[in-house]
Amino acid sequence: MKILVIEDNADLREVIVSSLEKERYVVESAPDYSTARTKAFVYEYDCILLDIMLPDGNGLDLLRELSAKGKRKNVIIISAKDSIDDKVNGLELGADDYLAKPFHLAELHARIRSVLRRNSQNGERTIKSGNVTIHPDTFRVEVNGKDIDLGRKEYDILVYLVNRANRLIEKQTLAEAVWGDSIDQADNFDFIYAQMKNLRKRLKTAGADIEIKTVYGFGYKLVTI
Amino acid sequence: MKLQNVITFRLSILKAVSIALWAVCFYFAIIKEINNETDEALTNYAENIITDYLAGAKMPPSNEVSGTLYQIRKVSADYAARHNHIRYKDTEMYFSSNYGYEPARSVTYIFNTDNGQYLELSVFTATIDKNELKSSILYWLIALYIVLLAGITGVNLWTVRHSMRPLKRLFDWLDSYKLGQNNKPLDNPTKITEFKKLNDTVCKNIERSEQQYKQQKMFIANASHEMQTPLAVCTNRLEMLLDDETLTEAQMGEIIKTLRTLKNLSSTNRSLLLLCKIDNGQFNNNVNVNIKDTVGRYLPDLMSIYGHKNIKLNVDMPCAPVAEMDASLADILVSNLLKNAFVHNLPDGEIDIHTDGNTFSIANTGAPEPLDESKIFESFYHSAGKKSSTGLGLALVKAVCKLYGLGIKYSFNDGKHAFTITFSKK
Repeated sequence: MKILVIEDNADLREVIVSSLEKERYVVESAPDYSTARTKAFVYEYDCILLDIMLPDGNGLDLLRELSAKGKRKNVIIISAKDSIDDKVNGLELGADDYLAKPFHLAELHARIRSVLRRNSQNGERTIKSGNVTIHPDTFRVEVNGKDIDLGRKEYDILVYLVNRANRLIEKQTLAEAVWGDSIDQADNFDFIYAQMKNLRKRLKTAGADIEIKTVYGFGYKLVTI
Repeated sequence: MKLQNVITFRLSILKAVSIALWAVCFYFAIIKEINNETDEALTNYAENIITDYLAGAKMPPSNEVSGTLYQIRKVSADYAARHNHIRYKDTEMYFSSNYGYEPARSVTYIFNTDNGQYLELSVFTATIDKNELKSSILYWLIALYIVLLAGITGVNLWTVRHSMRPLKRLFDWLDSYKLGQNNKPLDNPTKITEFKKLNDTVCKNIERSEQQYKQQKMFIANASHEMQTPLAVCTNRLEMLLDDETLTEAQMGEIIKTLRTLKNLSSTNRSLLLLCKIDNGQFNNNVNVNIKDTVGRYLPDLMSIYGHKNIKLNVDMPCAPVAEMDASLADILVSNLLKNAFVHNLPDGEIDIHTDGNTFSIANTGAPEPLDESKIFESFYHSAGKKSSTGLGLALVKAVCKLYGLGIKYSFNDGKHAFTITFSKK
């Protein structure tokens, strides 16, 4: 899988590139509009990460050009401007997702995977991890082909962790993703422990070969056994 | 004291002084004129008598009917040498017709006959009573002063008020002016140079304030914005570090603490940007929002998140207000108030949520003292001991209320902190 990272900040570019390379993607990068334009039109990429504010142009213009030439493919906008207008414009111009800075790397990887999966040829919509299959369209979870019953929050936690498998997910981050921003001042995470306990029990009972590990009490990591 | 009253008062005092001065001058001028006329007449009369006397002609009668008396007596040469030969003086004269002394003017001539005998002729004539003149001048001047004062005061008040109309318009405009909002331009035509200049100066200053206000807002927005990328870099580098399998628990703990601090910083940043966007009116996708639904969306999650506090919830929403506003702003408004009620609550506390057709109110147990109502809606105001919050929640609530003209009120009753939002009646 080949990814083009268009980002003018050298530090952030470097971090994103090295983190993507760790995930075994082939990564190219462009620091400005003109380089990005050249690369995007000459080579084929499976996914493009696009910063909107570039020193010599607007990322949305590039998106417009790519759309016009039919070369638009799996574009994720990364912007420091968390503005609804940009989001709407970007998505209308054909971007597949919008990620506001600052973001978690785990989030970025999950979005890339999701975009790639969504646009894969066979149009397969399911998410697989070990013998666990998730059907996001119908909110169903199968273990070894057999449906298991999960509560709404349990389902959300599982989807979030499966999409970010093998990464340490801090419990506050997880809580925010599942319970929303209201969590930001919580000083007690008992409500996660309860859900987590149930989820683990259900996965284990169904014989799933994935496991949610607790990492030193800081967070969780989903691993395949 | 109003300017027009000050001007009128000062002018009245000046007028009183100048009229008094003028009265004194007027009096002396009149007296001098009268004396001159009287003296001339007396002189003529005395010279006629002397001529007649020396010529040995028949003397005219000296009587008070004609208003003129005279007497001639012999004086010594010595006396004549010691006195001026023509003397005028104010005196009094007895009039038998009204049995009293009346003011009179006299002239005294000393002359000598051919045989060297010195004679003294005194001629009297009745003249005006100076005291009466003085008092009547005084009365009339006081009358004049009062009439003038009334007239001039009236004219003054009218003139000043009319001349000051541009100033009044300017003040009215300034009173209604609100920085950073859509204001009517100043419409204050005037021919008066000073007021024109004042208009220009005020407009220029307002413009400068507007610019500063805008710049300040822009600065906050830009600063928050510029911080997003470095924040992303820091967060992501630390996250990559966390992937290292060889980290000890202590090292991981430190990294995660740093990440949390960074997260707080970025949420402060995001709230600031949001605040700027609300202030700039960048939310205009208005829909009809049912407040009851919004509350219903947030309550279950909050109850589970703060389940450990064991809070008792009293919800009374018979008829929820429907507001025309941006849905995401309605979320911000409601969720911040709800969250506050949970965060600042006591273990085993209570939360009352009440709505009627026009208001939404939420009350919670908490700190025993009322909060400082003048400060709670300010950015970065923290109640004591709650440092984990960004201090922007209520500022956001206030900004949303301001944007849609909703009323927000804080009160403290029965140990409960209550916030009430009043939606405008439609």
